[in-house]
Amino acid sequence: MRADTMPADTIVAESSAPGAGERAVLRLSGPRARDAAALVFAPVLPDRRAQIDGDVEVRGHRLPAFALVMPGPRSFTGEDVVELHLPGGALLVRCVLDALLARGERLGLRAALAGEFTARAFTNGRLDLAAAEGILMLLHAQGAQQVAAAVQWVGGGLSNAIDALRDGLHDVLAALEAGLDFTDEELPAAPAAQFRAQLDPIAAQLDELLQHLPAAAPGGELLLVGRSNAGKSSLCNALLGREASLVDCAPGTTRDLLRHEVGGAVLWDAPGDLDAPGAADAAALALRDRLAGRAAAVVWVVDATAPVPPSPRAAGEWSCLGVVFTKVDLLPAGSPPPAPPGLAQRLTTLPQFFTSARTGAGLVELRAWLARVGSAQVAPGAPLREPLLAAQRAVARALDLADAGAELIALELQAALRCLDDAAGRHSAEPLLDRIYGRFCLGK
Amino acid sequence: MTADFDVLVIGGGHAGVEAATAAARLGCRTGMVVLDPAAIGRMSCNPAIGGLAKGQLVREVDALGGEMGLCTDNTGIQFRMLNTSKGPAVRSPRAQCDRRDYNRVMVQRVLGYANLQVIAGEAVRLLPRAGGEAIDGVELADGQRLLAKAVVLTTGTFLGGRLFAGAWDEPGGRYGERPAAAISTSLRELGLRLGRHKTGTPPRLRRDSIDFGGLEEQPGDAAPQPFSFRTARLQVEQLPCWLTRTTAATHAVIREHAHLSPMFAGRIVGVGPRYCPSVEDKVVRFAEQPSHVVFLEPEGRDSDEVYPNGLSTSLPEDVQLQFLRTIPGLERVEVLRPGYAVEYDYILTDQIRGDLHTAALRGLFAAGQINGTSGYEEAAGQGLVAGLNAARFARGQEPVVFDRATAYLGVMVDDLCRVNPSEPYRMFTSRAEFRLLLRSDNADRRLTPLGERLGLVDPAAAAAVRDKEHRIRGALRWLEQARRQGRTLTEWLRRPEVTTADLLAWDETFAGMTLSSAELNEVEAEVKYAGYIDRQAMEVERLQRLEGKRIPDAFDYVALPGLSNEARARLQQRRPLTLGEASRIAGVRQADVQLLLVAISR
Repeated sequence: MRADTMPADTIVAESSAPGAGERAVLRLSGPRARDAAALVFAPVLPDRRAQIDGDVEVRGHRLPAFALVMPGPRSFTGEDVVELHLPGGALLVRCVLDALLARGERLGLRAALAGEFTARAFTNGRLDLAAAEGILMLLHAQGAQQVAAAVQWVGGGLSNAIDALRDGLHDVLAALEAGLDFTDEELPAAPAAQFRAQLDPIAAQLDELLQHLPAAAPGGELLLVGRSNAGKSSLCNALLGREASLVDCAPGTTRDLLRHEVGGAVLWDAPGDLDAPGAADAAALALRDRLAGRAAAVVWVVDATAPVPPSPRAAGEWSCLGVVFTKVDLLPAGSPPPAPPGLAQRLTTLPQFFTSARTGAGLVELRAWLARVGSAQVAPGAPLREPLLAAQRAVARALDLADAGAELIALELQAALRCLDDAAGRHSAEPLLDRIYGRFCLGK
Repeated sequence: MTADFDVLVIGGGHAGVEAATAAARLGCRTGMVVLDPAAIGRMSCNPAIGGLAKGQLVREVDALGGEMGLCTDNTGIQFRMLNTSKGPAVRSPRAQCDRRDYNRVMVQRVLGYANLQVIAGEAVRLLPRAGGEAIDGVELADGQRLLAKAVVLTTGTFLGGRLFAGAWDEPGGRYGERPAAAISTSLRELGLRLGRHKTGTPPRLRRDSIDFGGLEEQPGDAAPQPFSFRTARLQVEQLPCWLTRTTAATHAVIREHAHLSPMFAGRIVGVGPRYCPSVEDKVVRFAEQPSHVVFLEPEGRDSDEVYPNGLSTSLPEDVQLQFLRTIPGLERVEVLRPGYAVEYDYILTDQIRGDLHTAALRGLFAAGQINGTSGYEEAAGQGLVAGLNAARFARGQEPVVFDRATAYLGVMVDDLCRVNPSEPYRMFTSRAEFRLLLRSDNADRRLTPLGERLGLVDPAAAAAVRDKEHRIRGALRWLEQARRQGRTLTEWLRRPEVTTADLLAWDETFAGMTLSSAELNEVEAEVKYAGYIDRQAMEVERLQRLEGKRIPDAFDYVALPGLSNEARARLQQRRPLTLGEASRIAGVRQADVQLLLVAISR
């Protein structure tokens, strides 16, 4: 079963803040982005980066608008992207979006899922992994210092820091390897003191980097996802026995990720999945998607009174561990909740919980289950922390070996570099020999 | 159709010699086509064998019954173990040979080889079988057709070769020798893509015209060690080399005339090796360096030629003489033969496989410079791999692919298959991630048992390696028991400052074991590297486990909890065949690989 057929689809969503403003933006991304835009926009768009003035058709009327064409791979998502800039107005935007979706079906156009532009940018290598890691850290940041570090790293600072470490280690390694691969006549061996002087500051930088990484969460992390207004926040509050999340009957009340601890597990209350996200929500949703990737454990929350099919990501890409039906007290007495239409086969085999925040039904079982599965999950931050710690250990061993053979020190530095590669999620680009030849005049 | 040969080798350089003799040792009817039989095993450049990492390659070839090490021992005039101040894994043997002698001994050896027939002629065309999938043999310039089940190309710098010096250039494979031009066309017709590499050689100097008086002498080792595991004792009267340096005046002459070098004039399109730069390249690129070292190496015992190592050049002949005479000791030097650059074709190596089989035609193998490498030792190593596999192909046997953890041979061939070398490929110890395991002194322990199983090594040599293994194990056991000042000798040897020489002085029993120098090195390596060898062995095992773990085609990454989203997306997209491949995908972290490992094993 493959629920996510993302790369083939062209997606569209409003990418400006919802509500009345000077103008609104509809963003399309995917292989048919230009074709899809042509369904509502004239004139025809070129296949190069351009801003084209024209008009957009709304229920038979033509309104002035302009289109930005950004061909892949040099676009935010790495795919062909078209932005339609329209006169503001929620209803107007909604009308154009509806028209696009109705006419675009045959082009494979569909509404973007929350965070999907971000996900595509990741997949296509347009968004830095470590920068995203920084976003996550922001969520975990416990003190002002950590917040500052996290904020800096969101801008690519974390990957810069790791890159700087790798660069430094590569220099030390290149000098060592050159000493091994060329004779003393060709290249006089560097003294051990010089090696120490080079490696000490790198060890210090690594220590500092690790200090700024927030401590891993005590338990694993579970993310509540589901349609907007499915009752996730009420469920959270009921589980916690307090008003931690603002609850409102209007959809989309939860605009930020909220973090709660439930019996050793960490529970994240995430914004809902339904509406085309406004710019203000986009960041929170992007964070939620990162968290869904990191926390790796998602609990799908369904309104028992209005069951709807899960988003493809919840059904497929994310690792759903269980399904929680809310508001069962509103069902006719004795009737089981109707199965949501289109419930993916895999979800029907997961543990199901029937709960009511109002009556407290099913909460004891759910709480016990959350604590159990939560403690089995991988804590976020661990993917970075572990390799960085391993790199730290390898550098420490290398320093201990300063008086032993260079071939042994090199082994430890190579190990440290592999760990940093792992932390950065990518391999070193520059082969060692290039670095050696760049620095030394060698060879007979 | 009946084949004239099981294996036909085109070329008689270092790759050709090892390819043909390996196939012949395996009992194949083997032919070697050479332009000139007297040129078999001729050294085009420096008459030296071995060097860092290269010495390991020669020892590996030798451990598999090859010829290079034996011939070096027979014709060497100076033997040195390099990097003796560094660890046992990075020490390598190097020998200066008598150029004429080496060539002469190799010609005799090859002409006398059982199952091996030498044919003088120029191969001009490869003969594909009707249907074009497999090779049938080659056609010679005189129209003669030689049929073979497998063909090994080892054409070296002769493949489309062209020589350059200053404004002069002409087709050639080596000074005074014509190139093999037609084969390039034939390869292209078969759909093989070719690249162009460049290498160079320095001028040769008349020995009597050099004033060695003020120069630093570099003698051979006091206790020279043989190259071949089969050479019991080396008896050789060694000759010294000398060191001198370029001067400011040298650099001035070169800078003034650099534009006349065909490299800088843009007349050479081939890419040259950075580790063997021409002297004009060194002077121009590293302008801040005031001087470069030059090794003056005798070309032979009775030779009047001296090889100035470090002065490879393709400047015009008169400029060569001019800059040479600015170098101490060379003030009145006479040039016997100018330096030149040579440009030649090679096969882009994404078209060869781990057994050195080409993608173009079944039964067509390639080895040596034709695969984008440089160096006698690299050529010999590939020759052996190609000869072995051509023989196995001819007999319908499975190919033998050496892995990176077993031999530099494996590192080299694997590197070549992965990427087209952007410059002539030379071996370095830093290319081998399992360097501590791949020592020059344990090449026989690593490879001879395999060589015996394959039929490459005679039983006597294999028995000698078993004996050596036994002695090393015995010595290691003794060092664990024997004590000095309350510590075992193993504990002593583990200290950086203690060597086996100390142990020999301290302990009569150990001294009484009369281990050879190579055996002592092995004892030292096993003790000093103990923890690291275990770690590398574990890493090897881990890698082999990952490479061997096939991921089912229909594997559902979506359904695997715990995978990070980016790993999941990339794995979905790339669909790697094995866990090893998965682990090399950017964005897939160790934690993800571990999860996959568990999921697949389930």
